[in-house]
Amino acid sequence: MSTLRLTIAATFGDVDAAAPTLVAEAAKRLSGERLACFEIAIVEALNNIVQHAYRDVPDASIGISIEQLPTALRVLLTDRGAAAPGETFSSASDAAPRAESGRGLSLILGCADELAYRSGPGGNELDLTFRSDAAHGR
Amino acid sequence: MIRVNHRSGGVLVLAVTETRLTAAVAPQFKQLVLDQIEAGNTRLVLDLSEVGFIDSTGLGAMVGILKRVGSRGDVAVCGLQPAAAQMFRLTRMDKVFRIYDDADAAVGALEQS
Repeated sequence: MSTLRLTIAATFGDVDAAAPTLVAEAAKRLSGERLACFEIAIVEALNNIVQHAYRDVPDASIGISIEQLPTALRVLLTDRGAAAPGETFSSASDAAPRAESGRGLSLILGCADELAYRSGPGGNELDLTFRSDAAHGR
Repeated sequence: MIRVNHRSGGVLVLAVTETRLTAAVAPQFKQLVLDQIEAGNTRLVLDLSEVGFIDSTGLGAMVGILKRVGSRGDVAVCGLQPAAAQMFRLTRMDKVFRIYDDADAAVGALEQS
């Protein structure tokens, strides 16, 4: 199984610049609305790292890997910034209709098929799984 | 970042010329539109036909624009590409914004309201 690995600077502009490469890799397994959902989840997760884990941290970087599994894509996002609070990824309430922020987490949770978050001395790792089109339809 | 087009009935069409309306550009986009509102333009069509992707920050900027206009005018959105339309559905913003296929349809609707 192939794996795409890259490291980007932790800026919103670099997230935008990397997104087409990540989507192209995901397009090997996902299509249509599921591919669009992949892009939403990945961009929101990367933006969260820029905005929260690396708040006020200059010259930071984010590691990205996309592994092609037999029936899924597994995405690992790694950073060495501040860890997310304990319950962050366990649930998310919907933002108020006219709220200007607070939608990112629920989008990640809603778009990824599986999610795990680990934090330790070596940094933080967000582990996202997206089942392939064929596996998702079973 | 935005292309301004004055239309009949005092409606302003603001075409977003970015292919991605995301956290990287959303603050500048929002400020440019707020400047138009403060200049007295409160009947706005946000034309997103060139925008292939919107993230939650871009969406939040649009909500901020809607709130700034408030009861002083109207905001409509048009030209949603499939990925942008999906973002509106996932966040239920398709129930918050008036959405039209293209700028002519949006302008027509605002002229009548």
